[in-house]
Amino acid sequence: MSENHDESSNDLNLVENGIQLALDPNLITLPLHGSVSSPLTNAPNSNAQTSENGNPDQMDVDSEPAQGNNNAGQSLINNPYGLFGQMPLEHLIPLVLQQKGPGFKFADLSEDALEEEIEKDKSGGDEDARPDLMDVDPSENQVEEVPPEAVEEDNQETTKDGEKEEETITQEQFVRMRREMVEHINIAMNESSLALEFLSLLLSSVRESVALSSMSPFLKKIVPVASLNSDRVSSEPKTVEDQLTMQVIDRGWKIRCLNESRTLLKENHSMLEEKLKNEHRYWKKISQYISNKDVIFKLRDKSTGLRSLGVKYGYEDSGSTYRLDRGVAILKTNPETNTLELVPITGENSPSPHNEKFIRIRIFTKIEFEDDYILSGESSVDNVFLNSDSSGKKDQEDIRSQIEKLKALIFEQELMYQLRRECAQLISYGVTIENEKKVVIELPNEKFEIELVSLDDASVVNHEQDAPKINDRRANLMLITVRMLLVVMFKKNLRQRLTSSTRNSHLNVDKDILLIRPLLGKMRHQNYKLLLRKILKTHVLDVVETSTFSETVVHPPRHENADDVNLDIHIAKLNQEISTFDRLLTTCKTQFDVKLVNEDKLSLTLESPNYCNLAVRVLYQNASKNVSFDTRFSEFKEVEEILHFIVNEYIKKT
Amino acid sequence: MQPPYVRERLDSLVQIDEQLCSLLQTASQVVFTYGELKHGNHDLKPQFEQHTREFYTTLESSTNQLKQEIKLLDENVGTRLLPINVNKKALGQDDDKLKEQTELLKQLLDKPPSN
Repeated sequence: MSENHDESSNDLNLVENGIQLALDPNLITLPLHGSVSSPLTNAPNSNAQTSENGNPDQMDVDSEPAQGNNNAGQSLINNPYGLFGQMPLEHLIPLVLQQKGPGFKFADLSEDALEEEIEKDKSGGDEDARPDLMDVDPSENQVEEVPPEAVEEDNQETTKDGEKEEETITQEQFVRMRREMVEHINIAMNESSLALEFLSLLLSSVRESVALSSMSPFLKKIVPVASLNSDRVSSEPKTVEDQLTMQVIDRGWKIRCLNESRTLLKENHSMLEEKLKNEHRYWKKISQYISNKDVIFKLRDKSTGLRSLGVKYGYEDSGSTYRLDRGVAILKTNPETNTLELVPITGENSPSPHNEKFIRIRIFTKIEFEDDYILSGESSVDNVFLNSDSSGKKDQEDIRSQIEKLKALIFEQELMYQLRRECAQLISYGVTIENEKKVVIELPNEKFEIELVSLDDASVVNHEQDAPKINDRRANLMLITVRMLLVVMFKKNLRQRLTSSTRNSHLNVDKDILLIRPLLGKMRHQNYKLLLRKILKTHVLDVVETSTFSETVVHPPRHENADDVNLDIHIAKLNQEISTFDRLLTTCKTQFDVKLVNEDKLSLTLESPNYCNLAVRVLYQNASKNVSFDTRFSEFKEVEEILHFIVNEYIKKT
Repeated sequence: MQPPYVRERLDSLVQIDEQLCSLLQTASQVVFTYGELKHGNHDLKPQFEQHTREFYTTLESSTNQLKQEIKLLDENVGTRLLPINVNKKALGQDDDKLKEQTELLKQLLDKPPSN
């Protein structure tokens, strides 16, 4: 704050008013006579300098209206502080800030400081307060004074309230608007002068004198005339030295490029050579190991995304319906050992990948008078698996043996799968699944266990040291039989595919899967035979003297189909192949003929329908008494009874 | 094991591969001698010429061989190769298995029972 002018104005006020009052803004709005034009002309200046707070013009303006007000004597009653109190905060705070001058923060305003100020006021009179307020005033003056006459008229009529309202709205808005307007004008002026400069410069290449007249001195000094047209800019000729250095640099770059391209070519060559070597090795091995019989096809390796060759080793095309493993492997080179490998592709639902398992059959014999079994036989491990296990270095790369092994493995897997499916139907005949993986067939004095065993299972690894057991051979024979039966199933399936258009991808357990039942049926039949012999002996042979009995196995007639001749050669071949197994696949039938003294005939036929069931047909004919029996029984008890009856009633009485 | 004809073709393709690959090396030599010439080493001119000639002869011979192979391929379509793509079936694996098992059976039965 500049104290000098403050004091001077205060002096003025003191003189004129005689009363020490803070300046009421209302007073300023009262019509002014002498100084109507002065605030307007001063406006731009005062606007810029309000913050500087020391403008003598302003002071004049402010002091004069106060004078006029005095004359009117109207608004002196009004307390100026009351007005400030009515103002909204957002208006009041800027006012306070303005009053305090630049660099003052509202946050710094404290009660203590204010009290101190009031004290100062009291001591120093009103001198301080007034000039402060005056700083705010000029804007008010300007607003109200625009239409001086109108305001003059209004002034007499309007109440002070109305005036106050108008002021609060227009006061700051006006300042802001005016500032904006001035800014815009300045911008416009700038733009237009820039445009003028540009045009002049553009023109200068054509009409220099005209252009020069409208150019600013600054532009003339900085930019050469007519330089917007590049053709007018003169280029300096290069010196010989420059040219020489340029040539040297050119050459240097060229040689460097040549060197780099040479190394690039060389690197790529060596890289390609390496790759080619690998490729050649791959193809050489493939041509060496893959025969035309193998099914090779192109496929994309899912793990690496590269194209490669696949080998199909599954039995799908040879009649298998096993779909849990499609039997496809990728031929690829192992990057570490650089050897060709077959990697089976395992589907999402294929059982336990990379687990090499084979089927083992174990036979347990019941220990007499004890409820326990002893291991009496075990099927041996197939050579295919053993070879690859103990293969020397020679066989390491042999894809052939790998293919063979995979084929054998998938076959074993399917065999177990089908065995288990068949098993589910045979619970009533003593066939059960133990631990979800072992098929157990129980007979009165023996027990068979069929299970998938991993190749690296401890019991397999140590197998070689085991002493040969009694039933080893039997177990092996059983295993071979079961495998053959699976092949027969394949063949039947193939035949079906050839003869009918419908494909059943799922085998019917009852009809199509015949693996355990033929074997079990045979064994049960043997047991039935033993029992029947015993029954015959006790009830007939021991009772009826001079009677003998003979036993014949009844084979089903081999149907030599005449149709075969007309059939497709492949179907005929399949028919023939399947019929070789008829003996094994048909149900057993045995006939017992008992020779009696006279012409009477007694014969029993033992049958096993559905492989495992029992049916005994008892046939008795007595010519002299004209009696004949022909009855079927499904239980030995009944057979015993009927035999007893026949012997007692007819045979012995004759 | 593939028939000799197929192996012959594969070997020939291997040769072509190698020739094409060696082109790169020759090219790098050509570039090198050219760079030397630019250095001002004018004695290398005949060598440059030789390398360039080598490049072209290798290129020619390999393309010729490749053409030859393609011709052979075309000729063999219909005789050794099928003109269309056919999904090959893995047939006869059942017979193989049967044979293998019969062989095993034979061995077992030929051997006198151990007990």
